[in-house]
Amino acid sequence: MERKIKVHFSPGEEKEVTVEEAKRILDETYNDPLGGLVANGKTNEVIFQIDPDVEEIIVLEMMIGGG
Amino acid sequence: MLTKDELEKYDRQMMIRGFGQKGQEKLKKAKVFIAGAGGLGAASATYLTAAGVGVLRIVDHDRVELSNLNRQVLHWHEDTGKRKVNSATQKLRKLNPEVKIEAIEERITEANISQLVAGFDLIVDAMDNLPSRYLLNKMALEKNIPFFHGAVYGFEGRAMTVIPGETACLRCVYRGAIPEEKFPVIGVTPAVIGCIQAAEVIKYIVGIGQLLTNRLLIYDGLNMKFTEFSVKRDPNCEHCGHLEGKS
Repeated sequence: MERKIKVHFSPGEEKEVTVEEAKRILDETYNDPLGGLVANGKTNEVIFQIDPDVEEIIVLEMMIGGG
Repeated sequence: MLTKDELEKYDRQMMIRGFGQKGQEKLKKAKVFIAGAGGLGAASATYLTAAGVGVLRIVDHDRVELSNLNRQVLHWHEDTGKRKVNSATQKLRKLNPEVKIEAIEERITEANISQLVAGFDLIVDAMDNLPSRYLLNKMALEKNIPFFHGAVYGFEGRAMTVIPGETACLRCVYRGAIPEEKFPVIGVTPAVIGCIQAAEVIKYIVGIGQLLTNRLLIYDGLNMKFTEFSVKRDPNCEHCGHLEGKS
């Protein structure tokens, strides 16, 4: 059975994708100038690649506000 | 040495285990740089002033607008049109006349940042745009000054503490370069995050507790949740990758 990764987008939106799709989402997040960051959904560790143990990812948007 | 008034004023915080008069004396000697006199800056400056830090330097180039007043609580209706640093300084001096408040009306740029932070022990990131945050992060690393990051959006906020050469920096976590933009925010969000930044600064100066290092704290006010994400120093980080130290 093909490995699937659950992707959580903020706020609250989620879907299951293939590993390739998860890698694409991660790359797009980091390559997009407006992109944010990606964390392992099980360990809450910020990650920069999809390792074999990754089952879920959380995509966090960039945040800049201060004033 | 603390005065009789200071011993009375700070009595409750000196009662905290590990704080004591020594901790208060450390606070009195500390020089804290606050970049920005907006929502985050107002909250962090207020509580650092109340806690009795020695010197606060606040840098901001903006003037107070009506649309600031829902969250920038050091600026009141009567201050509309005034320089934010002047409006903030006026209130902070009344709150605690023993704290030396320095107001600098300047935009933080690559050309002046080194001079602006020179001689300061800590940097509070209360900016409203990512390019300035990166500039501050880089300067903090270069000058080996602890850096206290905070950011807000709507009901959500984030905070992280950076110890140069030891812990993950802002650039280890964020790769984007989002430009300056108008963002939604409710006043309580920068209040929460600014107070977290102030708490981190106080803990660092006094030398108590566990700092928010290698952890990005996320506050979700809508669902009233705090979540932590662990972060690591990136050996290839363009800001801190070259620094030696514990990771």
